[in-house]
Amino acid sequence: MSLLNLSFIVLLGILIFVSYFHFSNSFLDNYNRKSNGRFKFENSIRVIIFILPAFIVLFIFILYPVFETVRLSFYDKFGREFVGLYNYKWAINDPEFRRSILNNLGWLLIVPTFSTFFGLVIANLADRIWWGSIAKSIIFMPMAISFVGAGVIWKFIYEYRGPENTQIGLLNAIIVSFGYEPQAWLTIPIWNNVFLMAIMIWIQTGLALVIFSAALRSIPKEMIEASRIDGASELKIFFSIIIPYLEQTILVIWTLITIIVLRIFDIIFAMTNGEWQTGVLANLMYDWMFRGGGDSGRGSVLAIVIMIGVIPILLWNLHKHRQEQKI
Amino acid sequence: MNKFIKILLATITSSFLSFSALAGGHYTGPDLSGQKITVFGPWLAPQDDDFRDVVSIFEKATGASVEYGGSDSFEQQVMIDLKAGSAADAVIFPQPGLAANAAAMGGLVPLGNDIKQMVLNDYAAGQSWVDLTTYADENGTDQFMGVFFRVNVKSLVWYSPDNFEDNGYEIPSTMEDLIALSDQMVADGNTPWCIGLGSGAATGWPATDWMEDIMLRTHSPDVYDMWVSNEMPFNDPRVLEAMEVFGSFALNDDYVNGGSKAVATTDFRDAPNGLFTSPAECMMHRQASFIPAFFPEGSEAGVDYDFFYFPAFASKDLGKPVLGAGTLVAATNDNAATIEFMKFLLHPEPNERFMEKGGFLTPHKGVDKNKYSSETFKGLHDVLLGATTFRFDASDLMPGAIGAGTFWTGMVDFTNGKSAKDVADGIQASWDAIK
Amino acid sequence: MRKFSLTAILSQLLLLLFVIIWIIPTFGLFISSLRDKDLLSISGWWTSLTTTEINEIHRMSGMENQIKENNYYIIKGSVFEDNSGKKITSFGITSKKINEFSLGQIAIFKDESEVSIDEGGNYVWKSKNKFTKKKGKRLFTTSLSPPSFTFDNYREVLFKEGIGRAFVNTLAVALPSTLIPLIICSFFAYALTWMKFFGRDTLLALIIASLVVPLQMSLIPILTIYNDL
Repeated sequence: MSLLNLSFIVLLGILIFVSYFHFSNSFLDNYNRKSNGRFKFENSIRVIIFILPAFIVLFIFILYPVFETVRLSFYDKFGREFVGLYNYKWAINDPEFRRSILNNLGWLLIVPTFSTFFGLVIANLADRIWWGSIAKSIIFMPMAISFVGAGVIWKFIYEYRGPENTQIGLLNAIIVSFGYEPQAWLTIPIWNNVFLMAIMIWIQTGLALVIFSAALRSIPKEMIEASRIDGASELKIFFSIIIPYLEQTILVIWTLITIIVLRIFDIIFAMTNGEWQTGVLANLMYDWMFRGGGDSGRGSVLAIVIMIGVIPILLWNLHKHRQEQKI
Repeated sequence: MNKFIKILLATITSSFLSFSALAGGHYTGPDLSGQKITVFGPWLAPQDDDFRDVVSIFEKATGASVEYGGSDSFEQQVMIDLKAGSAADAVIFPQPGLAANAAAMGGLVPLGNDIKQMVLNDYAAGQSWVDLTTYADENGTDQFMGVFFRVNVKSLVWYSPDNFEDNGYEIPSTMEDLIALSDQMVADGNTPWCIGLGSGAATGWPATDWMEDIMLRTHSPDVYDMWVSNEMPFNDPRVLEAMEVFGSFALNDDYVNGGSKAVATTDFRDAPNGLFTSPAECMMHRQASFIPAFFPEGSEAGVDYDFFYFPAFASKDLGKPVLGAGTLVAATNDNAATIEFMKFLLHPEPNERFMEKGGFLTPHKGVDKNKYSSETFKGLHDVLLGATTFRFDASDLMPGAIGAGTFWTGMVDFTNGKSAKDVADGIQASWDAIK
Repeated sequence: MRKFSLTAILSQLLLLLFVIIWIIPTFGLFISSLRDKDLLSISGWWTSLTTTEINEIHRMSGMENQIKENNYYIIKGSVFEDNSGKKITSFGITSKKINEFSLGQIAIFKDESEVSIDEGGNYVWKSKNKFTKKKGKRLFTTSLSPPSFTFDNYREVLFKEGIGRAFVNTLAVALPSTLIPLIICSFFAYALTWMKFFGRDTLLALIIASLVVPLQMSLIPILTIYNDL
């Protein structure tokens, strides 16, 4: 398909949606005017116009697959025979499954915390410095790299060669220059997860940083200036003024990154493919769904477990939203 | 008289022409202009460009256009495509086991007796090759569904003749000699072996090749066949014995470049570099015949590197078993263009074109052996056609869940220190789970 | 307001530390992309930033390049490409002793031919008897190699068939998937925030839940739908 055709189709797509909203709304306005502004259903129909496209997309691409997945979790590997709770029983007893849940928990605890923490600290450090924007751009840059690309980048850091050979991984080269033996970082039990998490933290800190930077601007400057004049140290200002002001933002960012981390798959897939006990639920699900013929029953169970994991966060967010509505 | 001469000339010319069409001449095909055939396979650079050049012969002869796409995670991607009904017209499977899965799902179309007859006639040991591409379709009926194109011999050890000469090493003709040679190399301060199992989502497959070669050298071919079909369980003592032999190579820190820890983390494409470094990081590398494609640019066969047959145990008296594998092309679409494409692949010309590019072997009896890119490959051709026992790569024959799943990951665990028994039990458990 | 207090300096240093740590991985990739392909799995990327010592194996020219001078048959050549800037420090003629000889020394092969090499990599191989082999013997060099970079990798990728297509495809995915959701969702968000209607909270919950649905789950049902269309 030529470039011309492609751009035409893209423009057409955009045009369709813009015109949908424009014309349906003006049509409704017209109708409303014609019935002297007393059209009973005006409000409901307008709501429907607004939410319809997004809702259709949501339904087809999210809701339908979810229902289908729930259904498949009760069927056999080909999706043909009904097997009840067989797949669930298998999951509970499978050691790989338990390992994956542990790993996911590890990821959920460590990555959001550190990303948020680093983002907050760096946002403050870079706030009033003349080269602050440059620093922020550099730290944000990893967000623009795909996860698989990040995998390639970090391969040059973690790579292992034998003790007598030249090291091509940066970490091992540093270790060797201090006289220690090189390590195959990604195969060390337990710690290899931490090394993979480092990659995610490296990426996500940029996100936290950018949001915190914006939030910092909203803190009234007079308060900070006043406390400075009063002689408060920078550290005291940080803990007593800035953090309380940013409490909301901290929680929002922490939640956001948690949700992103719950779906983590690419980094682990690209670096170790779940080997050496690094697999998380998403890797296990991928393995069961697509490897060697596929078992959609077991894969579905794993997908559902991933979704269940988000329910606490979901409820908490809903709660917060309701609170805000009341204000 | 005139008429007679004309008829004579006509007969001579036509038989001459038909001969040339058969005997390595140019492929000619029906007019398929405007038609498009999509092909999906596991080959990435540089084989994908080689393949595109080969199919250009078909494109020029028929006017059809052929589009090839490749993927490193082929085994997973093809399943997605087949389940969704969006698979390419022709699919290049690196494993018959996977193709059998696809056939059972109803994803492949039978190729018909014409093509089957062509394989029986043109391929050395044609019946074996036909058997390897006959699978049960979704109704359970056996159908002939694929054609092997590009095969490789696996029982080979690659080495640098110059380095061997410098050190005064001789090519071992028995396994006992090979082990003695490895010990000699360690004593001299050299490292005998480079082993690398890394391959992205397929990490572990080179270890399965080691296992299969060792199985063929420690037990009779019948045992091998029982092992493949799981008539003999995977945790049988005979399999454990073979795994321990592999361990004697891969788990021995003195034997392997980088120690046993590096085995699973080194990519299989980087591993042979050790043969060419200065100082040399290793002396030998056991790998299939396609590996020269990954040697440093400019390396010349016979000069910078060569191979010798991975020897058998003299004490076991099992002859000279050869392990091999290949890619088979199957069709998901039975339109005229795709079927003609399959026939094209059985013609000598595409085989010879790929042979010239290197890294390509074929059991086709009608190809001109001189078209091989090097003496090495002519040698491989002879090995292929002259083995006392030939067996196909076991992990490619086993069902996908094992052959492209637990067998791979199990071997990685083995190099990480898991016991042979635990690994074998795990793989047997996955066999039981799919029965 | 300029501050020269200790805290200000410390905080700037700390920031600098963060920036350096963050940029090193990407910097490593950048340098690697400018290096010779074969070197990537042999030495670390930081070695190409400074002059480092490297070991190489070269093959001298064969019988086709020999000339006769006085009573000797001579093959001359250079192991390095022009302008490589490499300086040889030692060399050898067998893989067992790769730096047996220093510059200026004459190495003698088993067949009694001699070879010597200068700092710039130019060798002279002398023999009393005619050279008979097409491919020459190997020469092992240890040399100091200055930082060298190449655009070969970029050239190979950018002008490779299909890269233009890949770029266009990326744009084709990126543009609509940015603009269209922007349009659809602004209306959606407006309705959710400012309009009261039945089922609003449930819808909100559904949206947040949808953030977690793994992409792989949607793959197969959607591909099936597309194919049925």
